[in-house]
Amino acid sequence: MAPSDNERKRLDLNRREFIGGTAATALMGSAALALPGCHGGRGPVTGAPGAQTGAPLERFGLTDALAREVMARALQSGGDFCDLFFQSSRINYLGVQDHAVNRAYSKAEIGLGVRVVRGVETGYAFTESLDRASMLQAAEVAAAVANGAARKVPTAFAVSARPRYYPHDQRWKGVSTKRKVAMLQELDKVTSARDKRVSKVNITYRDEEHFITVLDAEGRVFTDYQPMTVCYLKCVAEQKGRREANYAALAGRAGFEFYNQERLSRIVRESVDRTLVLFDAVEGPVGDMPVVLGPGSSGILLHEAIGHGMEADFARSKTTIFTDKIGKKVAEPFVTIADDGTLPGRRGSIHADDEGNPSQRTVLVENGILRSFMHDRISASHFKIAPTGNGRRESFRHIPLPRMRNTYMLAGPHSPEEIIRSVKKGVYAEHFSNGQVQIGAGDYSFYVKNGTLIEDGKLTRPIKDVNIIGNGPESLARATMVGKDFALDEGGWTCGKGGQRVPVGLGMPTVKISSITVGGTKKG
Amino acid sequence: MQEQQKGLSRLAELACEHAKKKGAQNAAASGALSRSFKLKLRDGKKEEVKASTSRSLTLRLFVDGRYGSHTTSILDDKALLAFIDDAIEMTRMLSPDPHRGLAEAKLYAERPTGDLHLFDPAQSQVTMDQRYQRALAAHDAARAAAGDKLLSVQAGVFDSSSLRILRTTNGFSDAERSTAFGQWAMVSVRDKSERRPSDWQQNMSRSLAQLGAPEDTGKGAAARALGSIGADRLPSQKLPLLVENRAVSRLLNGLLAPLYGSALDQRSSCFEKSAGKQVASPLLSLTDDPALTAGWRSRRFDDEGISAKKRAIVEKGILKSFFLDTYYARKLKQAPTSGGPSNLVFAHGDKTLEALVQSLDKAILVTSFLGGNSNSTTGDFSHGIQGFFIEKGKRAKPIAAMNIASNHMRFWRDLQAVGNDPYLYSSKRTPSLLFAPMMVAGV
Repeated sequence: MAPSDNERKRLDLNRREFIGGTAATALMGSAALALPGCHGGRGPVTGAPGAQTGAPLERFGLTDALAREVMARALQSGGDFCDLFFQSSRINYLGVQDHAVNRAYSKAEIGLGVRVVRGVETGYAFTESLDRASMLQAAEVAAAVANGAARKVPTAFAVSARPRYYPHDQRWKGVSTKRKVAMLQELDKVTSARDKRVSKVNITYRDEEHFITVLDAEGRVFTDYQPMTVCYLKCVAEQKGRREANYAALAGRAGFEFYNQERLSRIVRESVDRTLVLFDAVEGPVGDMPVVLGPGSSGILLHEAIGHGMEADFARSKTTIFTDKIGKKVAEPFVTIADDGTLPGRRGSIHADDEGNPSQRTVLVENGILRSFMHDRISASHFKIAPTGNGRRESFRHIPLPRMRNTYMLAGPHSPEEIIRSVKKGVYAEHFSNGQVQIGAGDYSFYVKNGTLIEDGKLTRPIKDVNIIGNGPESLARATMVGKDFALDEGGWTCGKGGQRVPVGLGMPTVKISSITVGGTKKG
Repeated sequence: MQEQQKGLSRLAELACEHAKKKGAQNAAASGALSRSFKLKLRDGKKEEVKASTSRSLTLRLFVDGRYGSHTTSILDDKALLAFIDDAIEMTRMLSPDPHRGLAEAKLYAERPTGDLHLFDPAQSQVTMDQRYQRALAAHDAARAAAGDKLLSVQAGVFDSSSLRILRTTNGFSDAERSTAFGQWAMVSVRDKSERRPSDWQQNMSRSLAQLGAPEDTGKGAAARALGSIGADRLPSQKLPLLVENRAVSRLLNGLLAPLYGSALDQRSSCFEKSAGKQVASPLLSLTDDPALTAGWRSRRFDDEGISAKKRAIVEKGILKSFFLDTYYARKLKQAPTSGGPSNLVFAHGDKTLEALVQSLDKAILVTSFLGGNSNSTTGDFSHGIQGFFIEKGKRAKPIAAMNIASNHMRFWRDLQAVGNDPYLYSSKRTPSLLFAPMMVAGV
């Protein structure tokens, strides 16, 4: 959910105090909602191959020669690979409480991460000052992972081509606070006016711009402007002394025009209606039963049940339940699942990953057969295949790891109505807030904020919040019906792994899981 | 560190002065600096060796009745002043909020003067080779203990040295240093089925000497992973629930979320009208103790500068106080406490986890939670669980992928026993807790 002031503060404190190792498993952090989106086309490919690095480094006040000197220091003891990840970021927050845009937060940072790789070993250091001495010191620290003869630095860097997946009329820096405030005031007004029972409206809005430049020991340089925006709309309503709250979110790797009338109306409708329906909610059922997942944000099932398990660092160490399953049947023939970084404007879309490898659409499951893991450079080199563009990092403070982008299941042969009709007694789940997975055991769960009982093939009564828990390979095999109604979600999903958070997207048609555990309170 | 503290203090002073010059009536600048190391081994290789230094300055601005909070890590003077100019301009675009302001200066008084034992100078002397040897000891012990079931072992160490400073335009100025040391191991093992279960152990301390033997960390992780082999689900049924100390925080967070000022003020708290009332079993006493020796969130002053003060949150089941910073306290017309928990300390029972296990005929022991969430407005929660089915005082078999659900307004009343085993590696010093029979969802 949208972090409150206190929560945000706590997060920052944690980061300062406990920076370093953690043994936590992968965990979905933030929140989201559903939306029938469409599978967009691709933009033209642009870029200037062969150009010198002057321009990509100019923003950081650096020269090509200085970057080469830093890389030479990083490679002073050899190593198979090295990259320099420069980043400059600006994040702005605005918050609405009690019908006023009455709080603002912002964050500015700049930094360089130096990585030296030898086999599967990584030396890493970062600096927040881009002066020569600090950068050389970081390089010196990263270099310590290797212990051989110095490796040569490329004599020139070739700029990699860059597609266009981030629609924006202008950069965020050019959008005035005044325009954002006006939009948020209107959003608050419309939300409050939608129903008399709405007693509190909270909006947390954020826009981000990140400039990155990655130079590597193979003489490649990739540079990018990465916009991002998220808006959480939380609503509290009261009826006959009872209180309910729920929310809706919007997120895109896009510019300010992302917030068009259609989207804004949608989150108002979703936030209010999802809250009011809870006044009629009954206790959720307990135990194994069929669950029908509505289109869109139920893609969280894929993220947890199969996505994390298909990240190749876990395959390399043989610690995922999917380790030996490539080429094997894992689902019905009408099940195809992809992880795709190339969808314009989507939260998980990237022009290239944070190692400079081109983004792509990676098919994980094709007609029920497991096809490919998601790779970063280290895992791809271990398995002797090409990287899939999944090497992502939270920022210059972190090493890249295999991470998801937008993960979705393609449309199948069934109509949503016949799927619901096929269930005698079960749950229809349509709005989710978070999930978690045990990658090795394959057990996973996701939390349902809005669900409805299915009785004799019909949607009947709404249920209260409930967690659903299952096993990844088991649930995939039990996806017995897949709808024609594919939808991508536009919520603000954030995925956590190894202490790093990255934005991701989700999508799915209506899907029936023939049996899974529903963790409600009402038995019978 | 001394020089860095001076540098950061100078920037905080510069920031406050510049903010006032540009029209802010008040400001608070908090600076943070940390130097961290981490080393992680996997199956004998140094998967990650990392060193870093981070600095940042956060400026809270009060401009013409408007409020904003702005953080930058670009700390040369010119960039900082330009950042503040932008921040002030942004703040002026907002609606005024009459409840905003610095904490009252009288709340800065009487900061604890004793040593909280948060800082160990030994941190600056640790070498990369010492880190490697320690990680290797945890790694090798875990590998040996896991035996032929082992699939993969990871082990790591980390240490850091941090400094926080705070300066306000109504007279507060202070600094606090701390260090942290930690070691962990995570072990993945083969199961009879396709499952590849894993588990972990992490130990931390404020001083190096108290970190304990890395071998124990490795062995502990291996024993936990081996214990989860063969885990399965039981049929849905009502059973007593015993929750191991280190897992309790997931439940506790759901109890705490409705106690924050923002939840109370924004009508999202199921405990809004519960102050002074019974919300839990008389066995539950929960104290917020910011001056706890070597605690993970020990501090002499909070983020606003309010002096550390020990206070009861829940006393013998009665809700005694909320987490209120200056802003939400004003909105709610109450006295500020502090905006969030520091260290949370429980009144302990007299039994170990093992004694509690032995006292049970049929029950579930939860060793970790898997996902789930809690609704602070209604109190409803639902979480996945892993652990053991207990029969006749013994761990009869491991269980996984089951689920519990209840409501925080009811659940804590069913607390039946509190262990004597506070978890020392978190600011929430949770002991193991036993709850009356509840529905556990399974097959």
